[in-house]
Amino acid sequence: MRFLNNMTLGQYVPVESLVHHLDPRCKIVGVLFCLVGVFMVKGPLGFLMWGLLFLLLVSASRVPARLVLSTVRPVWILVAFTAVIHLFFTRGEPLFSWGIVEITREGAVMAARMGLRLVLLVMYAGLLTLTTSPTELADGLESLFSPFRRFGFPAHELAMMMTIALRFIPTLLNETERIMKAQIARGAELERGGPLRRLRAFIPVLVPLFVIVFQRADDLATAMEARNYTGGEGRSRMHPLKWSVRDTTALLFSVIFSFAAVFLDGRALLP
Amino acid sequence: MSIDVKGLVHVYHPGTPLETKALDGVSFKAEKGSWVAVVGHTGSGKSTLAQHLNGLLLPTEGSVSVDGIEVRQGEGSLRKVRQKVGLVFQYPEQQLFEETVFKEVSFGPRNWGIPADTLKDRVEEALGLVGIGSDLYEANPFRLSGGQKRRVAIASVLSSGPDYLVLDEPTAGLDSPGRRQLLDLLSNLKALGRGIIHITHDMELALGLADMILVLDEGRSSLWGRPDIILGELIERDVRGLVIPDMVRFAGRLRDLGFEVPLTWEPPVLAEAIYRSQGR
Amino acid sequence: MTENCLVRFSGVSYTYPEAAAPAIADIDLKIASGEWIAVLGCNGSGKSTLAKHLNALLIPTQGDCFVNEFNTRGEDGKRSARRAVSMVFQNPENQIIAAVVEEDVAFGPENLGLPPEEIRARVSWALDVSGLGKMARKPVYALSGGQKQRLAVAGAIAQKPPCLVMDEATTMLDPRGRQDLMEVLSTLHSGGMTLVSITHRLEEILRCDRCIVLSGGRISWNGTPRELFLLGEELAMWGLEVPGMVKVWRELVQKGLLEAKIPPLMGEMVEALCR
Repeated sequence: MRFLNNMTLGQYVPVESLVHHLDPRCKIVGVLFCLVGVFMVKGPLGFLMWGLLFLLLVSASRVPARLVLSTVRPVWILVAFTAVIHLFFTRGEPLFSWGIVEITREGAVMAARMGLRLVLLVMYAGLLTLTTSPTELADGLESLFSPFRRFGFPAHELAMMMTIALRFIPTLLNETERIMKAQIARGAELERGGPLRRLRAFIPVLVPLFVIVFQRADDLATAMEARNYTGGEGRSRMHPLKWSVRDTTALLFSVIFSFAAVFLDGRALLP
Repeated sequence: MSIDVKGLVHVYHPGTPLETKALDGVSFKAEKGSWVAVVGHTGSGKSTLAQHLNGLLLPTEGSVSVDGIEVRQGEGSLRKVRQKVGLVFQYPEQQLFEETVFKEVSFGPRNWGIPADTLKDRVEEALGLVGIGSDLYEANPFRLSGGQKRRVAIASVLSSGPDYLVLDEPTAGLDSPGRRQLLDLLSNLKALGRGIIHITHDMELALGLADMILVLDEGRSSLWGRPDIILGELIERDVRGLVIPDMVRFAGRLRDLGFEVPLTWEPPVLAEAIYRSQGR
Repeated sequence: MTENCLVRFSGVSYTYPEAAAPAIADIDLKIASGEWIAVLGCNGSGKSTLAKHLNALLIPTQGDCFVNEFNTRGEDGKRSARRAVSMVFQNPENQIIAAVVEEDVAFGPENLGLPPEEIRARVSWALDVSGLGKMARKPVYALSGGQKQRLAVAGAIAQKPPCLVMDEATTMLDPRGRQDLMEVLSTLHSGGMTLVSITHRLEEILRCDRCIVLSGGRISWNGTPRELFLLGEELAMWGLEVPGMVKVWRELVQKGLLEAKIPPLMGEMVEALCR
């Protein structure tokens, strides 16, 4: 029986490093540029550049490499699936065929390209959450979205919701596991039968989970009120966001690097 | 008839960065009709041990067998074992989900395929044992008081007719009348021949109620024996991973100072002994 | 007395919406500044309801509750009560908001709009007092239950309130977690903080100055812990259980071996017996 035991994967690793100390806004925008860049490269040079930059960032972040690699674990099935689909279902010049199965050169290229893209995508995003605490992330997003507040956009509320959601994911996964086990101990069979039967079998897990979530939400609201929380107005910060030269440099670097990677990659692919 | 645990080792997430050894060579035996207390801190491996007794977790090394049936994958072993060993998790009232008390308690027996004609008897027997009257059979379990909810949750495990009952911190969060009531229920079940395996961090409770005590510390069994033996050990030496009850520490200090204090767990007996020793 | 009276309840009753009977009724109570008071009672005795009045999470349906002589009924009184009284609740999981230890402790002071240096100073003070000084940058999920509850205490005291209320805050802890938490409370008390412990465990009131017993939503008894321990059947009636150590103490006092002024604490008892 496999339970939900990946709870600590992709979570913030509090160590001191250059990457940790960057302004969250710089990291968020920088990663966005990188993600677009990763999606726009097609050839080996492009992927090589993104791969090398990633290695550089990981070593600068001082996050253990195995934790960075483990961010891919929850999505590796998706990666493999995407790659396989492209491998078998892309038409073109046949490389190899066996019965009705045919692998084409274009298929192999597409599979490698999509696989690499997804892996890099997840790892870059993972590096952001590994080096930025949920509170910083929320503060960063709140600040980035604050210009839209005048149009009624609830920047603070969304950021607060995100903080709380991130905080409670591990707790709720634990909770779910405990309830599943308790019902299995009472003879429930959660992993047998067709989809409908399975769905029905999950009612004994879902109902208690909802009850717990509502109870938690209620308690949490009381606790926040008791700690003088009255919304975003008038709040200060222990670590106010401070944009420094370092952040400008890092952001400029990521923008230039993205353009350079896409440009050089495109040129290398020209006949 | 007993649950036999031999050299039990359990490793979580083997081969990953999160690899941890939660149990490391634990052995003990829980007889039917006896009360075994498993005492230790949070993180001592108590809850991991509990989940091995009915096959929710399987040993990495070593073995667990229930009435001679080895707990392992295949040949229906797990289903048999889960029916023999009822597991009551911490805060069991959190697993309630049905619309009525009666339906909640029939969930287990129905899963085990117990025929409809005996189902009703089973459910009524279980609810009777925990002291829930027929007036509450149709009540919504979510509307009951905290203590009642807990007893309904325990009945929902008892209704499957287990020979052994493993309870993880069953008195947590109850006030003392609720606690007393629950402990009486467990004594009663023991008298009816069920085996009780009581997981707790409360040494005072264990000394007063158990036939055998297992002390766990960081996944290892640091003590295993009858309460009087354990009490002697606690007075004589520091046992790692335990907060020694005040009364035991007190008795130990007095012995060091030359008072003739017997190994006892009864406050009046201890007071009497101090009185006599002081009078001399 | 009035100048150092922090909290004053005058004929306070509270009935929950849709409830038939009041949860607490006719409560008259004064809590002096610097006092450590225990509110005892079994489940359903109304002790948590009473606690929630101390910082205006609940407003009396009858009578008045004053904190620093401000009536909690008004907006000013409510704000004053929230700042004067912090609370720690039963389940540590449900009161920790941030995912990193120091960020959670900062939550309260941030809500007060304090300047960053002040917040940082308070956070490091609160973590030190709670024995979590070395864990400031640890993720919350890596903490044990006892550590989480001490984090909740740190979060509460970082607002530098004159008064801290522990609302059944030890219920979910193991003995070691309880011990550690009691140490923290003793430190805070000797630092002059007013403490209110809501509990049904008599082990936890040994160091209190005074305790009140609630039963059926009313105050049934008021006195010192030692006076309480010497009571007989009343304790069982209120659903309170005397710990083994206190039973020994009681027997020894009744046999005339110990004076009743010696508290039922190991060190003090051993010393008195050896004299």
